[in-house]
Amino acid sequence: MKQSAEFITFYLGEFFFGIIATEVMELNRDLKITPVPKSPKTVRGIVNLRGEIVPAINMHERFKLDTNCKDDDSISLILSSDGIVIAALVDEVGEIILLNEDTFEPPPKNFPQVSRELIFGVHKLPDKLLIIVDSTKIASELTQSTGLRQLPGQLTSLPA
Amino acid sequence: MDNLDEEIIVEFILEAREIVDLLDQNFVGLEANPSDNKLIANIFRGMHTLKGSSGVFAFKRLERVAHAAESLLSVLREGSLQFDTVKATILLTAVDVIRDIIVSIDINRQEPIGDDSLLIENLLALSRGQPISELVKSPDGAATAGPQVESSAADSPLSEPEPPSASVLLGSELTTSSSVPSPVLQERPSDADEQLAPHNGLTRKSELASPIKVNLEVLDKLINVTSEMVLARNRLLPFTNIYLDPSFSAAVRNIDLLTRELQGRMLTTRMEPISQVWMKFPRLIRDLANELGKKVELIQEGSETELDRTLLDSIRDPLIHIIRNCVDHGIETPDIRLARGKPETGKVYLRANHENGMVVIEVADDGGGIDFEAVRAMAVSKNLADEHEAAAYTDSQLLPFIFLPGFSTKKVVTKLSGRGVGADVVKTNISNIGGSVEVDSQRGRGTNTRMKIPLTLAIMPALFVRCEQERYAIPQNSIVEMVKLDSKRNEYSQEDFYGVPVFRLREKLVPLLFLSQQLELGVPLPSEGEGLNVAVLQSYGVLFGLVVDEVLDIQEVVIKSMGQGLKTIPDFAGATILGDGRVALILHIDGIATNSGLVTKLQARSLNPAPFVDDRVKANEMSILLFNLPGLDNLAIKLADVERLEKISVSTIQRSGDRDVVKYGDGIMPLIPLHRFIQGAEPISYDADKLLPVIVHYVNNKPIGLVVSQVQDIMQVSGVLHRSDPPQRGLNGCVVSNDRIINIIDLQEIIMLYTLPERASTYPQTIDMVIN
Repeated sequence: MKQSAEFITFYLGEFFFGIIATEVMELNRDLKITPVPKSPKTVRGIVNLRGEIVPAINMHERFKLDTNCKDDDSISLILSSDGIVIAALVDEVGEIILLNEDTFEPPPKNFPQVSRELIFGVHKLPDKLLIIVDSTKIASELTQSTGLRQLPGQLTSLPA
Repeated sequence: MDNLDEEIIVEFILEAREIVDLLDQNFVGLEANPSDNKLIANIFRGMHTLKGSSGVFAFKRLERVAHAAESLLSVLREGSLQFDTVKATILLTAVDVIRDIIVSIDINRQEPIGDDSLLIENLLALSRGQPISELVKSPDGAATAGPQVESSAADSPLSEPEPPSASVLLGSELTTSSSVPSPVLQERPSDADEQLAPHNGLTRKSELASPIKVNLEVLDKLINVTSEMVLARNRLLPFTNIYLDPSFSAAVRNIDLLTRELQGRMLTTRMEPISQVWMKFPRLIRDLANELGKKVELIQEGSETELDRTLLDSIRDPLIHIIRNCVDHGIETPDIRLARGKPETGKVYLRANHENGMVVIEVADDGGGIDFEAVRAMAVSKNLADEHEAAAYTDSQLLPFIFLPGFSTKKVVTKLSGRGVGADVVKTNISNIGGSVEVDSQRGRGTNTRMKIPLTLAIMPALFVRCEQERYAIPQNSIVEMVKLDSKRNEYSQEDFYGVPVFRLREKLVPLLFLSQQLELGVPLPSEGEGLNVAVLQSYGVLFGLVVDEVLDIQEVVIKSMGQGLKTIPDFAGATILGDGRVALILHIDGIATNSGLVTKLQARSLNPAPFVDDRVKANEMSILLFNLPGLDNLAIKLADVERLEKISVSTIQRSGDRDVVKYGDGIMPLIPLHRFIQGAEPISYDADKLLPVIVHYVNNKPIGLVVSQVQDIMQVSGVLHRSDPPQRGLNGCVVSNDRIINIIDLQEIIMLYTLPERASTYPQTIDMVIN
């Protein structure tokens, strides 16, 4: 973590999250999601981002929260890390906050243990906790081989 | 490395490769027509340019060989010596050496070490009119480049390795070899040379053709943006109905036109003529034929047919394989041909054309056909069929065996074919790019291999279906037909075949898969008795029906990768963006079939070429449809060739050129007056208010109607076909059933005669060039 950084904030159920602003390409409110059967549970589907097919990640599922994302009016945070573009589906977007290291702390106890590797830690704000997301980890499930074998004849060499 | 420097070398290699390819072509042309002075002059000029440019770059070996070849050519050009096979072979050897040197320069940026003194001596001796000292073995003996290059590369210090370029040279050979990372730079041309190079004939040609380097990624991005532009246009168009301002409408119309043009042009940037691949074949065939002591003529049609360049690369090896097979195993030696009453020179046809948004490439020969007895013996020896079964197989039942892995009937492994790489590899390669292969072979008459390739990988026609809330696209090339099953009309009854529900499609049992179940959507299967929409699909030679909720329409789709992590789902080939901007998934039919376990279940039995035959139907029986023509009773067509039976009112028949057509569904169906093509039949009367019985057959997914006078019955007969001798026009042979002799029509011949109306009056010499 740097001395101070700008964070874009968002909500998932009761949790308040922040992500380093430079990793967010844009916010998009009306991307139509096409579900992909047999995809990992965290993948809500795929969307068309100006001609590019981008996976839409159900962030509730990704963080293994008990809550689930809204059916229709989720907001997509378009994240780009390591050359992979994803649409992270969140409930609501908050303001942009400038923070420095003073308020930084390890993750809270009520946060699901399995999801701790996805976050750096938290910032203690006056009224609530801001959970700082490691955006490179969000797509990690997709970049790691899922163990399914590649069938011949699949059109993998095509432009994305 | 200096960029300009690199560019000049790349340009040199580009041009040199072009020249070498042209030389190959011209030499073969010259052999056929040795007095063609224009060809000699062309060859001379090409060689001269090569010599000149190699001199500029101080490629000494290249220069010496080119110079010697040029000396011989200049004598030939003056006409003081005659061109003959010895000279041609030596000159072609020289071309081979030059090609190897150029390949090596491309990889290492330096010439390979090698000794060409014998070749040069021979070239010079010939140019002086002296006999050559020793026949140089071509082409492998001359290829000295390989290993020496590597050893020298290992010894030399590496200097600034060139990063593998991601870009593609448009309009040039894609150099697969350039990815070999052994860039060694020792002798570099001096600065002065580099300055001179562009003025020394090197750029002359490229100014004419002006190929430019475009990064493939940039191109793809542009295509992407263009598709988006089309979608944006689609969203704009409806506004012209809301805002009726004429200048606004005009502006939108303009954008519409421009977008359309942009889209069309963008797609052509990926297209290249198939001649890019074919160019090498005349030489290949010439070398092969000479080596095997055969006479072969290559006839090319449709070399201007364009397809996606990534596909061009994928069809190269399959085509070479098929052509080698044609010359090596298909075409007989001249004495055998003469003994069989064929012309001494065998013919290999290479045809390409567009058909239904696919490119059809055919390689046909008029040789001896597939050795079916060897196939039969091999099938038995490989335990694919027991002796009894095998003995009963007809030729067409034996054909599928050649596509099984490791199935090779070659008795002798020759240098150029029969190294265990067989038809199965061809089939795999072609189906990997969404194509299909069919082989037709007739004993003593030849073999015809027909490949259907999608025009481009990026765009293809697909059928949209609905399953639950979502639309899915099925690539059209895997669709055989669409069927609506109605249980009330007894068309569909769920039977059980090795644990898979099946339905009866004409005489075949076809297994059913439910898309909702395959995609694990967790919805209940339709209850028995409900009508079903079934797409009949083909995968790995297995026919199956895929049940969907609704059949929508056919659209051209742009295939896009589903991206990281999702492309491993075997059920999907990719995704596409619909007109409204939403994404639809494209089904991967092979994946679905494999994943369902259907292929494994059925392939174990599909080694039996007729896996779905009803138990009552013995393997050596076939179903036929009996019909009459005036003056001829007891005619029959194989039921497998019958798609539907229709009654067509004479008054609905219209003329299209010299053909009768009727509107059929959404399309047009030509009507073949069968009597014209079958010996002994009398004309059918077309009385105005009459209903004509028509047998509908599909060729390449297009219907054609066979007009008969009466359809009688479907019956099972023994599959033993007695060939008519002498051959009867339009008849394949006859079968015997209860002392009744039934003539089976030769559908392929009839269709061929029909499609070649100008030649319809004469009986063709060979009928293996069928359209089907």
